[in-house]
Amino acid sequence: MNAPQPEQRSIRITRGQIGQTGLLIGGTSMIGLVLALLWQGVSTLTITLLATTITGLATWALALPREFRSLLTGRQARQSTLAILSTLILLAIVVATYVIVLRANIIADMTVDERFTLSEQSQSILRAAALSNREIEIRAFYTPQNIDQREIDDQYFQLYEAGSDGRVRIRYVDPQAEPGLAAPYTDALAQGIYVFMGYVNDDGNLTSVLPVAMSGRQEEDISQALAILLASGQFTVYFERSLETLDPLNTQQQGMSTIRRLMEQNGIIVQPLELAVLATSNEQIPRNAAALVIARPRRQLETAEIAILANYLQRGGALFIAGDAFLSDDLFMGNDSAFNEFMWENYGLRLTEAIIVDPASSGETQLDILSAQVFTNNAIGANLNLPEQPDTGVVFHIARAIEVDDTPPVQNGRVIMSSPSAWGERNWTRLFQQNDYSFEEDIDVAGPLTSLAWAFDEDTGAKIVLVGDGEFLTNGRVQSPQGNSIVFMDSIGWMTGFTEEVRFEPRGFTTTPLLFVGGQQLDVIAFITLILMPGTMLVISTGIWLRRMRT
Amino acid sequence: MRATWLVFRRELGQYFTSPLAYLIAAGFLLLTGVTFNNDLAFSIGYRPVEPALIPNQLATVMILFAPLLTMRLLAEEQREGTLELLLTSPITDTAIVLGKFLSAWTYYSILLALTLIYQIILVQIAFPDLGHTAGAYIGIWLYGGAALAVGILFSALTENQILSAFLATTTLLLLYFGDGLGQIVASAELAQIIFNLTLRGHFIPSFAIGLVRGEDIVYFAGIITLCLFIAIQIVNSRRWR
Amino acid sequence: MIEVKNLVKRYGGFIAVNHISFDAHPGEIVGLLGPNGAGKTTTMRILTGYMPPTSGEVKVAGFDVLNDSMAARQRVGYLPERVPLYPDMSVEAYVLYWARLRRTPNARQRTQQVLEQFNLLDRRKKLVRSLSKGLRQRLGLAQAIVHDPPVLILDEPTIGIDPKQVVEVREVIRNLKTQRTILFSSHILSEVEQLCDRVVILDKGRVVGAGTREILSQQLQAEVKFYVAVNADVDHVHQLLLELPGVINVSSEGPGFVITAADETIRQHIMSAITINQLDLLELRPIDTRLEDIFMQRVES
Repeated sequence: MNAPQPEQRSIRITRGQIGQTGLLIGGTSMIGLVLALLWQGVSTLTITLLATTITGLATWALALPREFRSLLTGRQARQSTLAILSTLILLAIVVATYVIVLRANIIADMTVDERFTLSEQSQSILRAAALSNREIEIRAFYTPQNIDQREIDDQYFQLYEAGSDGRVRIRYVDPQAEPGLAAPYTDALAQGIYVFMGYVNDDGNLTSVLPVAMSGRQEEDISQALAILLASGQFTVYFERSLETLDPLNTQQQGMSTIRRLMEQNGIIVQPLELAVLATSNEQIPRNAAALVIARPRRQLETAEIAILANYLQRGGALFIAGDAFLSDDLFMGNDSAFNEFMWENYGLRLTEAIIVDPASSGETQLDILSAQVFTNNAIGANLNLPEQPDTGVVFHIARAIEVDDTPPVQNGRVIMSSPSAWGERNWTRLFQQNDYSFEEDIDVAGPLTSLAWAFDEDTGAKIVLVGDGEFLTNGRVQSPQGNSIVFMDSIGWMTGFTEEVRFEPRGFTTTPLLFVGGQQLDVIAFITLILMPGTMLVISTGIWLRRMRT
Repeated sequence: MRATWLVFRRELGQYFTSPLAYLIAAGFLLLTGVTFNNDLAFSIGYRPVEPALIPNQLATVMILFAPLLTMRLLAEEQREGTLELLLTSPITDTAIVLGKFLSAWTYYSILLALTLIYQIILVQIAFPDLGHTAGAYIGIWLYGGAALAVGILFSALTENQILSAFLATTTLLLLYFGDGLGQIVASAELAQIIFNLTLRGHFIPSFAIGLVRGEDIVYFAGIITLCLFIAIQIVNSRRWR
Repeated sequence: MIEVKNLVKRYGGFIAVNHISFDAHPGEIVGLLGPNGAGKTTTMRILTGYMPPTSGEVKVAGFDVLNDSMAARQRVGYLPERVPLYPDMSVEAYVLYWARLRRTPNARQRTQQVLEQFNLLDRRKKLVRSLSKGLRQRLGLAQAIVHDPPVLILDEPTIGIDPKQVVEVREVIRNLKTQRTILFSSHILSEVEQLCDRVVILDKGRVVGAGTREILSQQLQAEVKFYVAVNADVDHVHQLLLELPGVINVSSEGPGFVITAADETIRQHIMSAITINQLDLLELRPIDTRLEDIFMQRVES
């Protein structure tokens, strides 16, 4: 019935094909042209694409003139243009709305604990920051790889910017794009710290830089850092150097640089002090000394030196004394030494000449005693021996027992004690020369023995922390376990009032870890969620299917 | 409006009387159930269950799931010839597209509601952060709407269901993981812009962590509006092509 | 009422409908006849508003399908070539859906009416997927008239169903024509013959013939056909018939011949020839000029 007319049709097909190819080439070139223009501006590529666009479209127009005309005029043109235009207008409206709402910064905090609303304490810290005449910057490093983390963290940083009226600014730096800015922080960055806070200098650099560890409790981390920053420089702690004490500048195993760094990181200024020099020049301990640390002295105190200390304590000073055991004639705080007596009379504390041996609770040897018993009801011991955190224990290496007067002239107390089966070894010669020690009834002291104690004079405000060991402060030992540095920093915190100044009270969260759920309950839950509910769906599905089959 | 309601009702009825729809519901429940029970086992006595656990999982699941739900909506009508009848009836194209979209979204909402069983269970055994979870569910509800709208758009484009599902999945992948593109980019600022164009960018730093931001709602509503609008234009184009 | 004036439909470079015009009036069944690809379905789709015309004027029930699309669509009932189905709906729900979509007043009542009219009432709860082809056709017709449209457009309504049900469907169509305009397409000539008041013949997008059967046959060159069967040697008879005066064509058919001639006088000539040659006449009867012939002639020319 349909006699084919090949000639006419073949011409039409060919023409159509040429036209279509032309349109395809022209169209793709046009898209490429636009992209190239955006990317490169005018260049050989864009010119080439322009040429191909024109050629392609011209071919199409010539091969299929009618289609070309109908594109420009006629119903198809009108409708398609209308459709595209209206879509673009809608797009513009959506984008505009988005930008407006974005600027309006409408945010609702859905969390039950209001984690995105700053607590009263944070707000007061921010108010204090707003009053400061120095700009504070939070400098955070993000690469294009962790933009998502940046967007999440930004939700917290924003709160601080807003709450401080802009006094606290957040600045994002890409360490790959600006390696110069990132250079000073390379070590910290390598350890996974990528947020820092500090005061902004005139030249744009940060001083008093504190690292901010972004743990799961962002408000705590940031507010704590802010509090420390604001308090930095307010406290100065002196380290005694003329008694052959440990050296805070020494970075070797036997040095104390780790402790110094730890204190500086908290904004505490560390200064050296020489009692001997003060004694000869008849000076006193500086007024700005929030505390004085005497770490592992190797000789006794002279009378003049004791007087200086007494004067300091009378003014409400704070002393951290880490005595130690040496086989020496000039033992610091030996049994009958003047200082020992001074301490006993005024504060009810003194060092004994018994080295604690604890067979039940010790480390490598029985002389590496663990903090078997800790009084956690005070600021010094509160963070020690935390359950399931063995790193918060304290280890002393060859420590002298402390005697605490139970009817003291001022308030005092114990913090760290040994286990009851410990004893105080008096035969130091045998211990040091032969590394041999054993309990001798009449000579040695029976445990439990105290290794760290405190005293507080209400009237003068004087504070004392006395420890029977000095080695725990050395670089080699101060962070193994972590508890060693914790007990030192907490002591300093208590003595100087630093803790009260900057301690950020974490607020309670009402969402708790899962209460213990018994295995049976778990089974019931699994049954309901994995079998009952999906099963019901499956049953219904089969039911419908069967009913269908039957009809 | 009247026609929209009629189309919506019919389509929704289809979901309720289709064995496949219940199979999908079972699969949905199983997937989320496994995640839930797993997290439960690891969290006991240790940490709270992540409040946005299920919504986070669904964000990835919907990329495959939304196209599956929507691929038949318009493509099937085309194939079965009923689209011809719809277009020759005195109803607007808007009514057709809108009715179908609303039915898919409603079905999805019902599936979401089913997953609330996990919250009910949690309330019995802990003190979960219901506010955070509520925010995350609002987010994944909007997110789902956007994914379904993308699916409908491609269902309108082609008669071939498989092709439409493929195209929709690809687009959603792009929209979701687009920030992976941003990772290759050199500039962090550009990466941030790209991130803010993606679906993830409007879910992770807000709904997932317990915040509801105005711009995220605009983003998802905007995608829904745009995709439906374009779909309507495509269906309408039959009238003037 | 259907009015088509100079309708053209172009797809890209291909012209599917090339300036066709025709009318259909209330109370009429008009048949659109033509081979596959003639443009029947395209024309119907334009009439129902599924596609736009490239040019020309198309009006249905007085409304232009392009400018008053909604009004036009409201007044058309359409059964496409492939019956559109929602397999998982029940028969009743299916018809009701379309009734409602088309703003039928008292939709439920009307649905019941229509189901009864098409004998589907006892199957109304069954799923559409379970219906036989013939029933599906009836269902399609049901949705097409449920909203009581003045114009019905049916595309190949009897294709692919078994003969018994075809008869039913045709009967139904015939009964529908009171006060309605019905346009239906087919390429089954006998069907068009039976049902239509008028015929429009399409080929390759053009109208190659239009009018009632009588008018059409009058338009043909005056021709008569007879069927002759003679008990004699076939070649001899063939030769004999060919020599008769006024003969146009002789073709063998079965045991006899179909002889086409210029006028009725051929009858006497045949009788004479048989008598003269003393042949044994088995059968001699006239053949009505059938649509088929018209069709073949028009379409092939």
